[in-house]
Amino acid sequence: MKSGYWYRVWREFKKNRLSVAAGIVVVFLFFIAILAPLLSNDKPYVYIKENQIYFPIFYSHRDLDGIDLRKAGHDGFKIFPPIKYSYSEYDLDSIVLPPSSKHILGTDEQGRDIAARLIYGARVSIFIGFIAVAIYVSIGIMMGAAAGYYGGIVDLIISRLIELMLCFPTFFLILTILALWGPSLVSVMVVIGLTGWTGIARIVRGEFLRLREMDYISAAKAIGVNDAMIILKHMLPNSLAPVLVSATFGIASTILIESSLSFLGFGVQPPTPSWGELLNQSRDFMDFAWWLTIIPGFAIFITITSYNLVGEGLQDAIDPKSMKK
Amino acid sequence: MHQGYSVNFIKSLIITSMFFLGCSASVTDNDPYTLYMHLSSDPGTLNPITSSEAITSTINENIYETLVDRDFDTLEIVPQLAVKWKISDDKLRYIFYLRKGVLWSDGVEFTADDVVYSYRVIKDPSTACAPLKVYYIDIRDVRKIDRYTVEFIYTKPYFLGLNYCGSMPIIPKHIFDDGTDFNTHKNNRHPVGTGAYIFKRWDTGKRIVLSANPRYRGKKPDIRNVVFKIVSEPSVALQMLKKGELDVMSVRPIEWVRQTNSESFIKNFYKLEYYIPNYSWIGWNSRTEYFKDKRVRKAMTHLINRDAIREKLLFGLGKLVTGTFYIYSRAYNPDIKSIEYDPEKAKRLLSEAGWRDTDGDGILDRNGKKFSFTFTIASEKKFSERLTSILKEDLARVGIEMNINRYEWAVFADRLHKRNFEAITLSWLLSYSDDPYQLWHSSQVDAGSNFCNFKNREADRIIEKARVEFNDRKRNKIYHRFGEILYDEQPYTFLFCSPSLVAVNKRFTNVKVHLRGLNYLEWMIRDKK
Repeated sequence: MKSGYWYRVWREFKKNRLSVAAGIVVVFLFFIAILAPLLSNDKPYVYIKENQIYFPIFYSHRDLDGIDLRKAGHDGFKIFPPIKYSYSEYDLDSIVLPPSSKHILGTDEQGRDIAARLIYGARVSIFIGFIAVAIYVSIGIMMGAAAGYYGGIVDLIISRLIELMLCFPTFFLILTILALWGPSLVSVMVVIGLTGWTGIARIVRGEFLRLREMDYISAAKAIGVNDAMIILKHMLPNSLAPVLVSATFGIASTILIESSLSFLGFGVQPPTPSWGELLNQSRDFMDFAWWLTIIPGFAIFITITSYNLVGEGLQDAIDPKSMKK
Repeated sequence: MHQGYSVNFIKSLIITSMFFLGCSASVTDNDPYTLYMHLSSDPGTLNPITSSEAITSTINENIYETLVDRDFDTLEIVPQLAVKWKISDDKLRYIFYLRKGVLWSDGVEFTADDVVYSYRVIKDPSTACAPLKVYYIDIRDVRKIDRYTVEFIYTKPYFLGLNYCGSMPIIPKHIFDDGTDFNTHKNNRHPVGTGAYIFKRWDTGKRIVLSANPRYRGKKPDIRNVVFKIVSEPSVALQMLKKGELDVMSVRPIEWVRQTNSESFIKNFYKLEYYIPNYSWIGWNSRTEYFKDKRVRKAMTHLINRDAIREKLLFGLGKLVTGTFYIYSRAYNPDIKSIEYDPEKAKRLLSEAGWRDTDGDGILDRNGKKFSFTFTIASEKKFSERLTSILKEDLARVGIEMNINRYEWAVFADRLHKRNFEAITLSWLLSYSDDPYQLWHSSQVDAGSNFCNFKNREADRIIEKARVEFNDRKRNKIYHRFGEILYDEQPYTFLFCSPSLVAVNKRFTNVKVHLRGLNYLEWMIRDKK
């Protein structure tokens, strides 16, 4: 029965070509993020010299310590990743260079490769997106489930708490907290996670209020199934679809919040790249180094749009009206 | 903030009429007699005593005057509010004869009472001006002899006595001595001075407007109004400069090299480069286990490729320094050889100090502790960010792990003052003749500006001896020795003296670069309408 439901969702989702394309982009970006060290690295995958085989990316070979295999003088068979630079290595001889065959997306003001930073930036941005959303989805589900299932005074307290949280201008709350804690990857994730759960909580609460009145729940209660079991096994799976949609939108907005924070200098610490950080660095050169602005800007745009399109596709797919057909 | 707005009916009327004047002025934004300057942010206050910000002095130097001034070219001390002065033979008494008939911009005459009052305010423990107080600790009293004569009495001789007595900020007693709290006085946002310009208004976040002082005794400047426009984003300010909405702007090295060389820019702007006393540095906090040892501090300097950074990151705009004095002053020791970039030597020094990679994880360690420290930077400073990102890479290569923590300015300053850092980078803005006491005397370790815990007996003795040495040649010789000690100890990695890079619209003529910088009182307007 459950697989049947998700199968129907998938069938509906497939009908929307644009959402499918966006989904492919999302998966693609996900793999870029996971495989970042394999896509951009200053070391080769394989290095064969005098019957000696090295895998510099995967193991640190002591006899290769401090040796730059890209330089002349290290002959032998080498396979390099597509981008032959690490995200933090600088080259003061190639500062703010436009895209060329050597640096396909150009360099920044320390001569660092933009392509490498963009790839690692994807890692940071998407990682923050997923973790922060995971945090607030968990909190939201717990809060919403408790409020929706028990009702009464529990519902009253949680609902007021949600309204209280909604009153805060989230972005400024985040800025304030980061100013006090000091900015870092972890604090950005935690802060977004702790402030973003209200939407999910309201959705779950609504679903639970509806499901609570269903006959199969009454039946479960009648035969003495305990509350935890009912919530986790019988109610939660049936209320997950809208949560999933909301989480997809959530990832998009989290990536955007992280970019904004980094753009303002409240995000990750240097030299860690994130897309917002890249944009922040580009501000000084906006009038002549277009690639520093356009490229990370475009990456953010594509990612946010893709997540939103996937979210919209999912929303249409779980809509009962479209399901009936 | 709101104290500037008076509830008094007549005063508010004046404010309203000024507002209308201001509006009409901003419609015709290109008034040829107005100089448009760039400010990167609002000053905290315009009170010359409580402020230690550079922005405040950029504005106040037009409004307030001091007893003496320095000549723009020779840097000699010249009369300003005082016409002459006498120093007693024991160097303990300084008598200043004040200029008669100088009026504050509200028409009240400037007298010895104002000088005495200003001194009392600085000495008053409730006045929030700790950095300024340091310079007047050795003064026993300031006495009024008559309406136009004041005497400063020192408890012990001090070679910069004339300098500090003469450059003490002077504020009008009749304005500030009204029984209200000095630190939050309403005139902190509305200065009344004796200088060439008078304060007109301050629209927070937008502009500060000055206009020529009709009562000013000197030659009337050609520039009738000075408008400081507050633009926080430098790239926006540069666009405004190019469009003619700003006349003067300090540009950054990359803009100097890449964004201000077009034919039209050269045709329309003077590009002026000059060195006022300043230097940037990296401080190694010797309270920490890593930087307690001077060999480690030396190794760090060996690891920082200052020549390459100067060449590439600063586009060659800057001079490498090896000491704490202004690079063009006689106190600066030009014979000290800069520690060269040499990672191998650094490794040797580190290993001598006990830092070796014993567990084979690629990171140096000593007694089980890894060499892993945190570099604290201020988020407003892009150069710090670039410098530290480069340093992180370079240090990783010799097995030192460095993290960068970037803080918002207020948090950064708090950590600095509490000595809560391992390594830090900043710049000092110096004066033309300087006393290293504030930065390097061991008495300043806990509360003063000796942030990195520099303590050296001989250096202390030299600093104290130099303070009472009035012969310039002898004192400079002592300071050269001080420079040697300091460089040998390497409490800082001394970086660069950075030039002021200023673009000025060519609608002004007689724009000259003096040793002290630019003086727009002498500028002329090319096309007078």
